[in-house]
Amino acid sequence: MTAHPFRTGLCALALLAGTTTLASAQVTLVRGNDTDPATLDHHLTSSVAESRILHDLYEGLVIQNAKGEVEPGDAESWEISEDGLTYTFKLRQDAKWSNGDPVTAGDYLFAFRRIMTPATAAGYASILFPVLNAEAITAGQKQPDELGVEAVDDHTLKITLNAPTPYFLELLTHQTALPLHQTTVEAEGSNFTRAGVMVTNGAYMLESFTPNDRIVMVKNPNFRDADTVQIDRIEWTPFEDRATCLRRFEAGEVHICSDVPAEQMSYMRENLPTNLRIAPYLGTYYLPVKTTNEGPLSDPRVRQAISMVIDRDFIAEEVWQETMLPAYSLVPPGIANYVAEPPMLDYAETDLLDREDQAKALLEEAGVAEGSLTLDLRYNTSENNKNTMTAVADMLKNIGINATLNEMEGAGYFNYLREDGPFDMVRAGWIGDYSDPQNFLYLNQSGVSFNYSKWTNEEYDRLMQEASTTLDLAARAEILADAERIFLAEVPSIPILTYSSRALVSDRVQGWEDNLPDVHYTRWLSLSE
Amino acid sequence: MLRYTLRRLASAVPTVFIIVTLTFFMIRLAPGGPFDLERPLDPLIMANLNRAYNLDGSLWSQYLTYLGNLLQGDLGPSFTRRDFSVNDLFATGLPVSILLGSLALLLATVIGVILGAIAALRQNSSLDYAIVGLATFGITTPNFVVAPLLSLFFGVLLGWLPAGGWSQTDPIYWVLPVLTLALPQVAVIARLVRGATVEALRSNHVRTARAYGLPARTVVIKHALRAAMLPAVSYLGPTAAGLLTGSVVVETIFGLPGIGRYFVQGALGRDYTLVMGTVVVIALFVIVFNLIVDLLYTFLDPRVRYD
Amino acid sequence: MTVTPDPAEVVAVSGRSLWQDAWIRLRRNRAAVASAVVLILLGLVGLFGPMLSPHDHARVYPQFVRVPASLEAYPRADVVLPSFEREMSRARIEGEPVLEDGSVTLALQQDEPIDERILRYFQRSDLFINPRLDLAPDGLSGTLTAEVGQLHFYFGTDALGRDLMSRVFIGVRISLAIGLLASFMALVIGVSYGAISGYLGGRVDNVMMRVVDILYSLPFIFFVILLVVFFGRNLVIIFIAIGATEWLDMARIVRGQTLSLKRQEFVQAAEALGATKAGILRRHIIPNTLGPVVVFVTLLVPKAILLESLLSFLGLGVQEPLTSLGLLISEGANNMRGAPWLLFFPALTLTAILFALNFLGDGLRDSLDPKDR
Repeated sequence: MTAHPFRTGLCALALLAGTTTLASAQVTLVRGNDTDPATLDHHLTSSVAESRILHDLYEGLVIQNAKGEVEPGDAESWEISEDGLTYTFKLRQDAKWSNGDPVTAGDYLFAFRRIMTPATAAGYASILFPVLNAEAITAGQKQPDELGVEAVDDHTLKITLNAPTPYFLELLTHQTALPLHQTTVEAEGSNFTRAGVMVTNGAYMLESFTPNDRIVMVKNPNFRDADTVQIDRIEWTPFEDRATCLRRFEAGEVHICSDVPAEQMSYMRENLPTNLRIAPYLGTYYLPVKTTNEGPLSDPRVRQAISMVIDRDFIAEEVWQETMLPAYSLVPPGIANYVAEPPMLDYAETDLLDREDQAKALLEEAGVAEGSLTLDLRYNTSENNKNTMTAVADMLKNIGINATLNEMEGAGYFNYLREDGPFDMVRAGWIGDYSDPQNFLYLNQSGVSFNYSKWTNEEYDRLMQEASTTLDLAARAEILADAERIFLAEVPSIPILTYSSRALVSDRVQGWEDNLPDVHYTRWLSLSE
Repeated sequence: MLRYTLRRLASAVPTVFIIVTLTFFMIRLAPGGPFDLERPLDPLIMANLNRAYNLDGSLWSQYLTYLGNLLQGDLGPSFTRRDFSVNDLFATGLPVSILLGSLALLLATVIGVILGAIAALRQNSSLDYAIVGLATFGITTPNFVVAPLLSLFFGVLLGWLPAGGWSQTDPIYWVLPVLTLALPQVAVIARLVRGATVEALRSNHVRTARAYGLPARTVVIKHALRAAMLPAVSYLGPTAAGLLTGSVVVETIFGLPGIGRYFVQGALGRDYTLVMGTVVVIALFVIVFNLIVDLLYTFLDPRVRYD
Repeated sequence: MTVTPDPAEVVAVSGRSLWQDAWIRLRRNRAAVASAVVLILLGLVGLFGPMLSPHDHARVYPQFVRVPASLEAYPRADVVLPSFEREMSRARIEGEPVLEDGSVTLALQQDEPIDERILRYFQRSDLFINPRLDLAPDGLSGTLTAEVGQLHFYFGTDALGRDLMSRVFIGVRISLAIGLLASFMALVIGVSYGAISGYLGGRVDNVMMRVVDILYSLPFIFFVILLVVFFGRNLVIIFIAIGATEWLDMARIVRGQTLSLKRQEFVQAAEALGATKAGILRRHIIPNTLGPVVVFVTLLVPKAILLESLLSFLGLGVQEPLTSLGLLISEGANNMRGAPWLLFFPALTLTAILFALNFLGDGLRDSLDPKDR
């Protein structure tokens, strides 16, 4: 890469700030991201793209290593009480903020209280609702100081939960659980995320943020483990157009693309075989069916018939070019805290033509005559969603169900789903926030806003409730599996695909390991010549 | 002339006001809000958010607040890019769009006028046909085809230029976006100039000038081209306003931080303030450039007078 | 009938001769004539192509996804037997299939009676036609024969295995329809608005033109996004949206023409004779503005088609399974490296349409321009 004045200028700035020793030895990694973060105030974020950025800036109590496993972070150790309700974290003595201040339990306490305060309006505060009183505080019924978090001393943090939550440590790896530098946030208010103001405790600190262009981070010299951080500077570049990232990757301008254009899979397989990384991912692509509409769709047999004729192999292989896997269950395979043999739709292995026969029989039982049913299928704008739904519509024709397709744009679509719009079948996707079946199964509980199908089942709700108070992991897994069995018998939402994480990683990047949660902190990576 | 200019500028105020009002109420009528994301928010949190962003008051009071802030030059906070105010976003994006747009405009005008004049002087020759054909091709090829092709060819296959990305200081990053932006405009300008020059060459005063024995080149440059500039200028006015306020296609495909993308991003994400801000900026550009066109007319055509 | 000739008729007669004149000149312009022929042909393709095409535009051929354009028939010889074996394993039968003279034969021998339902695996396949099962009387052995299909995909198939040629035909139909209907909308609104504004003049003219100025400053795309959001995306909304934004230029042009027309003697004569304002507008003003308007329309049609393609790029285009050239091109642009034919054929078609419209427009302008005699 040629040296150019812009970069040299920045290096000079970095030198002035005393953050690097030698400009010539500086290693810059250019990482593509799906989109710009909506904000660097992690309490107001929710997306995967934001999580990537924030985990380079901050370090939480626990972190995820290169394999995606939970490891001690700011907390060097912790104790869990026998009833599973109290977590006591011992913070490291040497953990420091980028301005040299020590990281204290008070910073965590401040952050946890801030995210629950109604005035913060944190969009994803609900992820920490397992913490005692969190929900009531967000609703304004209790005061923030009633939150179940306590700073015992500067280096001891005690968190009390509502109920034993086996995935709580995993939850703490989410960006909403990251700390905040209390004095900066209190002094600067909403300006605390500005470059030059922002104080972080992670491996990197913010140098600049230019919307639609790049976020530049430089190594944090005060980071407790700074010696092991090998990349001096990161340029996070947003790519709304995946094909643009691929071109810039091939031109050597970008080292990592966070996603790839599915249309060009065969090209990449042939030409970039070592760079293309496709790995199982914790996500399900599913089709919620409106169960409350009068008519055939309220009948589980009809929904089951629809599910049967969907040729998931075709959609995964041809439409998504194998960047997705066929799915026959809502909970994706490989998830933690689940039974060894997770429940599946029983026709997963059955040949498609036999499935069609069964589906026709089911429709006949349900009294749906051929050609009498016309479904309204909706999806939000995207080439692959369009092709998926078009293919589904074509498959439904095989059992005499007609379908009309309706494409909707972003915000309008999500509003339509949330507001119980009069659809028959829509497309939705869910990426797990943490590796636990509960994160997927709670999507179907009555009254949950993600429950697009508006399905209600008392037994299902009861099992979910029971699981939330069961301490024994094996017993809990069985209860959750029972719940999923009920779900699969009724298929209010039809799971069709499991997501894969897809990335392009340059041969020069070392230390990248494909993992299920698809997290790759830059501090684990290095760049060879 | 000065009075005319001032009067025109003064009359822009009600125009902008009407546009702001129209846009404000139209975007609010659209279903969905800035916080309708792929992951739906808890209703409780949604209420907190709406309160934090003053979206819970009546539409009318929100409108008055917006107008009040606008009068002080404050376009409000962005809903989807919450670390920035809309003013911040334009402060970083507008220079990029203006830089690219003006370079494209300059390139398109120079090349377009030259090609158009050559075609007109060699009317019905094969050179003329080649230029007209090329120009038509430039108009008919959508830029979302041209941009990836250029990036692929020069960026990936030849490696001569960056395949995308932006640098405020390194012109090498400007080449492909400027070419993509200029291409269709070259074509239109060349056609306009050709048509007008052909007509001007037949007009009486050019014939007279020729009859007086003035050299052909002087005649063309002084008389024919001057007349031919009129349609080109009236085309360039609105085009300039469009080019300088960015192109969503070019910015998306090359990954540029201009303001062209903000409009579509804002409208689809229901970022009310960002949409409003973009509309205000675009409207101002259109108004100013229409004024510039009208003023230029007086220089190019002495028959046109204001006052 | 009165004795004095109606001035309107005089105008009408001279108008006809102007049009006849123009027609004669247009016929001499070879590029324009060729363009007209191309457009008529493409119009016919749009009208009848989808009916005559061997494949339905919405038909999915799961076994022929992204096959390249070719004059030869699919399937290729080397995939016939493997596909046949795949169907055999789905039908759970075994044996050695033989390919001969375009048909596959398989001798079957089983311990249990052969189930006739195995046939449907071959019936459903796009590769084989007329599968037949001849069973021996005991039902334990027999022969399965199936002819290999002959499917032609002259433009190749898309990411779902749909015939691109049929989709281009539909695309031509939709794009031309959008171009024509949007231009027609712009024509109706623009001409009446411009003529009324120019003819009435004064304060009315001022207000009406100020409205045009305001609308000019509103970005087109904003308007379209809102319409799509409110009414969902369909063809009618798209051409209304494009038409509703493209009438502004038309209104300005017509207003300019009207301003000069209304000072002409024949209009003043009609006024003196007591014709109503509406009558004068309809019979005198509007017919006389048609020259420049027709030229402008030929420029408007391509503009509308390109605007629609921008909408498609932004994901706001027409709804599946319909398609437009713009949508096909924007899908093709995404596939340009893996499947270049997906870009090539729609782009070629669009370029042909736009070229033809441009040259026709030039020809019309030359022939309607009285200075050019």
